[in-house]
Amino acid sequence: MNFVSMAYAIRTGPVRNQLLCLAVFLLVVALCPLVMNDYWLRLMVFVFVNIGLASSWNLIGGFGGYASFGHGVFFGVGAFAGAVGMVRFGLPLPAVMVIGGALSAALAALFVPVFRQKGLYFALSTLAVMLVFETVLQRWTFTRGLRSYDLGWTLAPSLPLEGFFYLFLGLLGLIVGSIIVVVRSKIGYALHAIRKDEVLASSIGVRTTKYKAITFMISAAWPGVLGAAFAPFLAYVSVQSVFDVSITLNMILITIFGGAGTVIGPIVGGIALSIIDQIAWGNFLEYHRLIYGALIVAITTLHPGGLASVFWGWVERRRSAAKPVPRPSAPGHPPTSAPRRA
Amino acid sequence: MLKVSNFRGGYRKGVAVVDGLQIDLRQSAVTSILGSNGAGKTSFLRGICGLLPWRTGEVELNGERLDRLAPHDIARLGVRMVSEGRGTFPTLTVEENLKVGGYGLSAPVLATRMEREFNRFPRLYERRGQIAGMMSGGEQQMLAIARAMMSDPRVLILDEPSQGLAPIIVDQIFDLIPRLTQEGVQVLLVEQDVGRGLEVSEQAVVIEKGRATLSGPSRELLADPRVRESFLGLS
Amino acid sequence: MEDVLVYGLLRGGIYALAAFGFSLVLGVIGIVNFAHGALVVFGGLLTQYLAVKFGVPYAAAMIGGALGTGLLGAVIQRLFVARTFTLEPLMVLVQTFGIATVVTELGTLGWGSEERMLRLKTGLPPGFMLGDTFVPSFDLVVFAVSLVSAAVLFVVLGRTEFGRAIRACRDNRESAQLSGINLGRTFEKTMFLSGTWAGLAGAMFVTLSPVAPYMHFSWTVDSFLVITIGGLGSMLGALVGGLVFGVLSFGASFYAPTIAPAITFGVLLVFLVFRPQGLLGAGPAIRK
Ligand SMILES: Nc1ncnc2c1ncn2[C@@H]1O[C@H](COP(=O)(O)OP(=O)(O)OP(=O)(O)O)[C@@H](O)[C@H]1O
Ligand SMILES: [Mg+2]
Repeated sequence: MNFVSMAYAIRTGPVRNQLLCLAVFLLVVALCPLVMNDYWLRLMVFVFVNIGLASSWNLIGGFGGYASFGHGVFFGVGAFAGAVGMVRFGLPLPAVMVIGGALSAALAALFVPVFRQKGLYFALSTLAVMLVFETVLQRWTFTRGLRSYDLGWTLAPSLPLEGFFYLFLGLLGLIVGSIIVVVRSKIGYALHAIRKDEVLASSIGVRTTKYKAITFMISAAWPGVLGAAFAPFLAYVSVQSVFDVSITLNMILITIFGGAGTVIGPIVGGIALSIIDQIAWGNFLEYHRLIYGALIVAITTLHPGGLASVFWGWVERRRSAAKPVPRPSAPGHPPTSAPRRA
Repeated sequence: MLKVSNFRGGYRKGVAVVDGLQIDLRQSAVTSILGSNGAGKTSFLRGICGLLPWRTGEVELNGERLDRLAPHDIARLGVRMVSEGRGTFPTLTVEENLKVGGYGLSAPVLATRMEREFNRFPRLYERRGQIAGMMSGGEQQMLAIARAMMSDPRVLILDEPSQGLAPIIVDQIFDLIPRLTQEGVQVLLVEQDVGRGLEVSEQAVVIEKGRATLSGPSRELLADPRVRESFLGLS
Repeated sequence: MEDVLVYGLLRGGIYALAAFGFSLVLGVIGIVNFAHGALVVFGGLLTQYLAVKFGVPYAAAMIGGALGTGLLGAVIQRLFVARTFTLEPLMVLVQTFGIATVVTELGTLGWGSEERMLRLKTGLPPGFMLGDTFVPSFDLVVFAVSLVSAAVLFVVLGRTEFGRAIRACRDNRESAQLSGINLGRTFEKTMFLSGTWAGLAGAMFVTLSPVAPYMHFSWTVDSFLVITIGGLGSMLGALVGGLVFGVLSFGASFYAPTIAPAITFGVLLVFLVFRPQGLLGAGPAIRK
């Protein structure tokens, strides 16, 4: 079996095979601490978090077609939950992770009335929520906003570096695994219908509001969990550090760079961008947002399908060159590799 | 004189909805295109106007090639289409709709043309300040035709002008078509009512699945047993 | 209470100006322009730059700032949005989000990230009393100018061939093309109008309050709130929405500064639940 047909078989094959691939990938990555020093391990943790965040964004943005422009809020809320929970209430890490995820999901549940309206309301409301949280947390004494006696929260790292490495690797596995399962579940089919034609979907009885809300809650809960776990790793949490707009920017860029609406997209995008970051502009920190913004504009304008669509386009060409018979209809819906024309 | 040859076109790459059609309006004032639902009639007309996602073949108007032009350039050269379902501007008034039809004309020309259309359709004059979206189907059809005529087109394309209208309005519209041709405009007509379409036209083309299956003088087609059987329900 | 009403209304004119373009682009091109707030800020800073750096008189600087912003809008349309607006809405949203970031970061590189304000010496009397409320005369003049600008936009859209073409494209793109209207050019002009009035809003706001690049998303969100309150797709709705929003946001930051943004967002949710068509009802359907 050659590479092309293997890739195709995995994409269209049963969920079990995809999860198996994920497990193999995680196992290989789990060997990294044997050969890597602390610098690289820290870097890997950032890569895991970025991929995890982007994959979460991809669930509602890529698969659902509803872009969230305040997704960083859920990470920030999680990080604050972690910081406040551990410092003020002395809670253990697993507890604050659950709390962070639950808080984020609850916040996402507030969007139900927004989901009843046209898509543009969602996009703008998420942006509004980000501004609201940034301002309110900055001014609220309970969260030690700027007006208070302290500028932020300092945490003792509760795990050794390897511990964090495996924690975030495990979380990444859970996130990607859950997305693989969700995408092939009833929710995934509903999302596919919604993204293709929402009016049609609801007219044939798909309960669009319900599925959008569930998806958004899942997609918000994971960044909350990641944020809470990230707080002790970062050791210092403030509005500036965890509510920065570049966190949202990162999620979007990584997803569309790799390919929105594909499971593999955020993983490929996260790895590729981290490599580029390391060799090209890790040193241009003050231009970071500018470069990321410019990349987003370039990809959406020139190649909206991202790397994944380049790859699958190549696979499709190889396959049709190999056997010019009509392609058998694949089980499951075909992943959307290129955006449809409206 | 509109001439179309080897025309192919469609919505998705590689799928031709219109597959190798020719028509030549030279000899006739009114030409009708017949075909069952989904035969590709609307797609063909949209293709002539430059609105299909892809198209190949030649479209010529008095020797000038139109097939590479954008829709607005084709319209400016004198090919005007009244779309299926009329396509009036619902939030613009009747007068504003007509002015858009004469887009680019100077104010005095606009005024005389508008007067001409109001004479043709007194009903529109009565409702000149009305929002188009609030008008009846028949009124909207008149408005759509008047809007197209504002530019003094050389070719007027009518896509199922009788669709969804009361019989008395349909009669009016079919009475109108020969009068339009007296003003020097050639008409390309798609019509569900094949009998009427053939009566009013001199030439006709029957298309099926994007290809021409029959064509010729309308009088001959009216007598053709295949047409009588499949379109007129006679034998 | 009267204070809040008066000051809120005076600011509201500017919010309305900012929202017109956002609403217009949404209705005509069918896209949400996340870079709209960046255009408002750009207009304010450009005006301030022209006035301070080159000593251009304010009125000229304002017009220069507005036209410059309009031009930026048209360029964004031609180079970027024109290629993507027919794709699914997601991509245009993401794209304009990226454009907003780029414009803002470039602005920060060029003009710095600090807040700037343009204080004008007008020679006007400081103000007068309206009942118990002091009304600053400069703010009143700015309000009057914003109403005049709104009227000019209404005339352009309602009475000129240019405005008719824009409305025709909004109502039915294909019919507009079949009538000889160039869709791409019309969209560029729409973006130009949108940018020009956004720039005007910025140019006026910078004389009353500080403006800095980081504020661009607030302007985008505020424009959105204004048209949600007033009603999507209606220019008159944007005017009413702007005035209401002015009072609302001024009141919120006056009475509860800590949670002011949360209050305005709460109002948005209330509108979405109870009156999604806004105060002035819905105009033509917006596609996305
Ligand atoms: N916007 C579109 N996108 C994709 N396919 C289309 C589109 N419009 C029409 N088609 C397809 O093109 C074919 C021809 O359609 P068309 O509308 O041209 O037929 P028609 O002859 O005008 O039919 P009718 O008599 O019902 O108006 C049909 O198979 C239809 O499904
Ligand atoms: Mg048709």
